[in-house]
Amino acid sequence: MAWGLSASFLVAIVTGILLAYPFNESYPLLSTVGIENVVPFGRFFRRLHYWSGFFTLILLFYHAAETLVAEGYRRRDWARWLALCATLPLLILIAFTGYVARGDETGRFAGYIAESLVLKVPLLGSLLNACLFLVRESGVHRPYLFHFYASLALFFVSGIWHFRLRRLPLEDLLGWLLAPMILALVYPLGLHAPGPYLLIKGPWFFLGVQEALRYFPPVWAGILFPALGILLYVLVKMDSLRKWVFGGLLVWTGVYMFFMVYGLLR
Amino acid sequence: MEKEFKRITWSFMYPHNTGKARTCKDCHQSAKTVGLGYGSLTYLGKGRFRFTPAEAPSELLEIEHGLSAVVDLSGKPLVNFRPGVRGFNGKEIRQILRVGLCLSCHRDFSDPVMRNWPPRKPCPVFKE
Amino acid sequence: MLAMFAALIQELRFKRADKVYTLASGRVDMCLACHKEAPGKAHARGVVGCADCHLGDPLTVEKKRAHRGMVKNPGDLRVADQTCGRPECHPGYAERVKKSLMATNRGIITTLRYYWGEIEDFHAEASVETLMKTDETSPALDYFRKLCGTCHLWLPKEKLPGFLKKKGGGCVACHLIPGKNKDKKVHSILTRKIPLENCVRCHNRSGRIGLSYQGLYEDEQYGAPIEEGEFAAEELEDGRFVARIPPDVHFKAGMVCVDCHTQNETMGDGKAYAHFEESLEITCEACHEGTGRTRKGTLLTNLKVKDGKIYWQAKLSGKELEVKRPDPVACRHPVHRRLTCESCHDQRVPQCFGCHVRRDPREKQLDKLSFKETPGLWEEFRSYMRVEVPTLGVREDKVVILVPG
Repeated sequence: MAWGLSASFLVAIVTGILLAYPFNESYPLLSTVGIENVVPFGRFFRRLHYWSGFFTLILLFYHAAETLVAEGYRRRDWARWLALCATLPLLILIAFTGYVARGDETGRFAGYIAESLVLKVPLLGSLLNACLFLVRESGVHRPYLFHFYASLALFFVSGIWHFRLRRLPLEDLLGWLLAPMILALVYPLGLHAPGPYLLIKGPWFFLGVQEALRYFPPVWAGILFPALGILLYVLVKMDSLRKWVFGGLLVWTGVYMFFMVYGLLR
Repeated sequence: MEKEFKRITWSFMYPHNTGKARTCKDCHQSAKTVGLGYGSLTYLGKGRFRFTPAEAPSELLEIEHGLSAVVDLSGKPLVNFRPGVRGFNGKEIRQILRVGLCLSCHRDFSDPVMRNWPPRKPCPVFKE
Repeated sequence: MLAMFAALIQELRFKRADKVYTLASGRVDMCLACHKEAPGKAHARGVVGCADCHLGDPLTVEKKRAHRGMVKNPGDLRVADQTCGRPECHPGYAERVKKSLMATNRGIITTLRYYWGEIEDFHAEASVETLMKTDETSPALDYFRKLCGTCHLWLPKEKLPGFLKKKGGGCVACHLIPGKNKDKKVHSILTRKIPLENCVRCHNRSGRIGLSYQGLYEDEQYGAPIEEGEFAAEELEDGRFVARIPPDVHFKAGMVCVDCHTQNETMGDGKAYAHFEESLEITCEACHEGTGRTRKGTLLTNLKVKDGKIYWQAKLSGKELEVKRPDPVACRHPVHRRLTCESCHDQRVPQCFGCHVRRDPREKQLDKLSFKETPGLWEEFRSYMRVEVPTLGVREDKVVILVPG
């Protein structure tokens, strides 16, 4: 049953990620209706998400009861015990914000009621509300973010415990976190505003194709040329052809790089 | 026939067929209009009239007057009326019909005598 | 594997919408994905949602779920406070209409029972709604149930057979006109410009005002003239023959019932009246003397006075009609001070003499309020019918037109 809890949660997480794409928290009801009626398999995934979430919650209740019966609290130190206990209200809040995020009448009014209740909490009221609801001010935006972030956090944190998710070596993790962080801090990434441009370049890795399209017919430059590179790479496996293929791959890469650099310099 | 009751009740209404007004004679010389029913009127002198019904009493319905009558010349009601409604009384009938006698000479309001009619002034031509 | 296959099958069988449909206000209405009907300008497609009127679930294109709890006729008084009369749309109207005489028929029921000697109080409480819910009956009520019970707003539309099918329907009994394209199945159009036919669908018996107004007279029913062995007289939808008489001048000018009869009269003003004359507001003088106000002070917005002349903007045609003032001599002469306008200006009125009915207890007849066949068949007879000079009488010290009935 404990594995059922984790499995249900995993299903809910995966379907949740799938649903997050067509969902738009600015138009919660509109996009939920879209998921139900327009997105292929949307209806199926939404129901899958609903029921797996439902099982997760039910099984967590079961798990909590089971722990009490098995006197599991004796085997944990205080820190772990508190952390484990916290998963219970956390999951309830996750499930609740899931309802709110739909933006239908059930969700809308649940949101209003919850917001009013949370604001009654002494001292922490407005902070909690800012984390969880704020529905009157900004719609389902906060509940949705909480639903999404808290689910992932809970999943990974409890995952380390439950299915022995291995941690990366810390120095690698920090190192490769640092590199993009520095770039992110230093190199500004803008967006390309609409305007009367005569030249618009595609993503850098696409420029080889874009450049080739200037000189050759679309089927050659756009389909066969890039496909050739991939085909050559696949054929490396064949012992008899390997030598030729290596040569071809080298030439192809050279040509692509040439086009790409030429395109970049334009 | 197990049970039956007979009652004729007259009510008031607005017919929704409005147009040019009726002529003076149409009311003041009409037995039907004043409620006596279909029939003819004879002036007997001294403000008295005789009404001769053209409609036989409705024997089938066991009533002693024509179906078109609601009052007699004395103003006695012959039928039931919706609450608040009544037929003309004897005085009203006589007054209305009396004007009818004038209409042969004084046809309508284009006649100055009609326009400024002094009710008490005797007619120099008509002998009561 | 099996579950996945089932999901695939379900997905393939499901007819997805091409997009999320929204109304002008941004609200979702997925009904529009399948339904292309347009119910006229006032409730334009895409502005008012289908489910706003017809209920059901507008958030899905799954037919079964979408149609659950739907109403075919939102105008039905049983649902009107959730549909037409909902707080965002026409709040309060449903309650007003339910108290109006066209919904209660209190006047008809009370008058009938009073005339038949069943009750003493001419202002007794009565309503079709109660009669529909109970089995309450009496000779007069049985007569009402079987012969009169087809002309009230509680009657569900299309419930009764034949020409009666078109009667009733609550709000739409008056406010619905057929859609433009008569061949295709199109949505009827909702309107405030109530055409004459909608009123005359019911108001064509008893005083026959709906017929007289148009210049029709329900004659002795011989069907004459006979042409080529067939009755050639004009025929009403219910089979009665009619002859032509001069129509009402207001009809000739292109006016309809709602030109004169205000909303407060027709839809009720919130008070429960016992009789029509209590709810009536309009007077001839309101227009013809240019006061522009009804008996109860309601403003007639279509009346305009320009340079001493009075004009009426006809509600259906929009034409400005000049309103004649009363004749300064004939109408205002002191000898005629007690006369109502109609006592002179209505030259004729249909008069049905010797009206009588018979109930045959051996036969059965459809009770139009319970929709069940019950014992007792009512037949109507009359001695003779005339369209003739009206008889005059007195009511509230005014000379009025009297008719049998």
